[in-house]
Amino acid sequence: MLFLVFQVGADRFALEAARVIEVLAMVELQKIPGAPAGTAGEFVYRGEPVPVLDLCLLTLDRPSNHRLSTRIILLRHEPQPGVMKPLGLIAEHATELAQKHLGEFTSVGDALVAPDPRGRLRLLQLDKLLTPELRDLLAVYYFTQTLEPDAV
Amino acid sequence: MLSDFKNRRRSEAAAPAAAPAAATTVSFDAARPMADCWQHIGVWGNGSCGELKAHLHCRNCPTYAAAARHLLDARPPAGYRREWTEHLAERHAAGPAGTPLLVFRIGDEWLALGIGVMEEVGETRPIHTLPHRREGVLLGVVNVRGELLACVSAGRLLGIEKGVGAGTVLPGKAAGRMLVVSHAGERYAFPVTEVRGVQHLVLPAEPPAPELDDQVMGAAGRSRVVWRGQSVCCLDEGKLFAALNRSLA
Repeated sequence: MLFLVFQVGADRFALEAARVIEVLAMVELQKIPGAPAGTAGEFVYRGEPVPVLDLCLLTLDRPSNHRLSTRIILLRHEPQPGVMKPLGLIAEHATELAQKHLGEFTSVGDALVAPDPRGRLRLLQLDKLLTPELRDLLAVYYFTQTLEPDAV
Repeated sequence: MLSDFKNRRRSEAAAPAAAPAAATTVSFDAARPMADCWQHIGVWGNGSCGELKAHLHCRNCPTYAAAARHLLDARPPAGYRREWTEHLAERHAAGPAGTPLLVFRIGDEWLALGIGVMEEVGETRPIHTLPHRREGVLLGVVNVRGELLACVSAGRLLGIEKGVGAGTVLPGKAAGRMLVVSHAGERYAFPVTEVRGVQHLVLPAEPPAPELDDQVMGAAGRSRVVWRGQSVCCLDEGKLFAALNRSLA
């Protein structure tokens, strides 16, 4: 299986490449009013607004650094079973790919970790990262998209 | 930006105390404080680096890869975010019309095959002939990433006369290529004269009435289209593999 490798602070994370739509350069984000901690904002992707979370804000309480290697990973998020929506994740050092088997990831505490030549790789479990407030935000965000424009 | 990077590397090389910024990202970098070692002891230097025995070329070395990653850690230039924001906000224009097909040439005959069956376009490699199979479509076996594959002559299968094909060859692309194709569990390799990459060709919905003297179309063709002034025979995957299986049986 192919994994996208990136960093959150000093930790290296892996995300199944099959879930990734595109890795984008950092863009200018619009703030979402009243959004909980961990949200970076939203931007328009091919004519459709997409919410963006900052992995560094979520786990380290600091925004991601402002470098070329800090990118937005656009992935397929499943807010409800059977519903696929795009979600952006800001990650640092999103520059690598790795070939791993899912079986190589072993459970260490509540994390799934695989050995790697450059240290260890943690599997990104987005569902565990999302706080109830963030889930609510995403649910409302995706719901308002489905409404007719004049109803909003 | 690149010149900034070079200048920074030089200043780091001049003051080794500042260098370990990159060293933290690569596990065994600590033994080699040199920032642009490839220029000094690597393949662009005197080639004395001990790691070259293992990696053969600097581009295979993790230190070189770490330096490349370091390059991506530069600060974005002014207007970078603005530009990307505008670029990504635009809706996709409709994709190129037509079927994506790999266009290649055997002798003087231009052919196209669906990319769904295409596994690999590689360099030509030695074909090991098989005893008592000197004639016919099977040329022998080739080693593709450690696996022996039947190497066939698509030219003979389709009845293409060996042509010179001179004049149409792009500079640097005349060496010939080996295509590896697979369809329904069958894998074959076959040499071609030239590959022109994936092209989006618009195939006619109705297959035209076959011309009686068109041997290639008769053998495994689907339709003929004109691409850049040349007549390209689009091959039918099913017919091609059925013909290959028949000829090897």
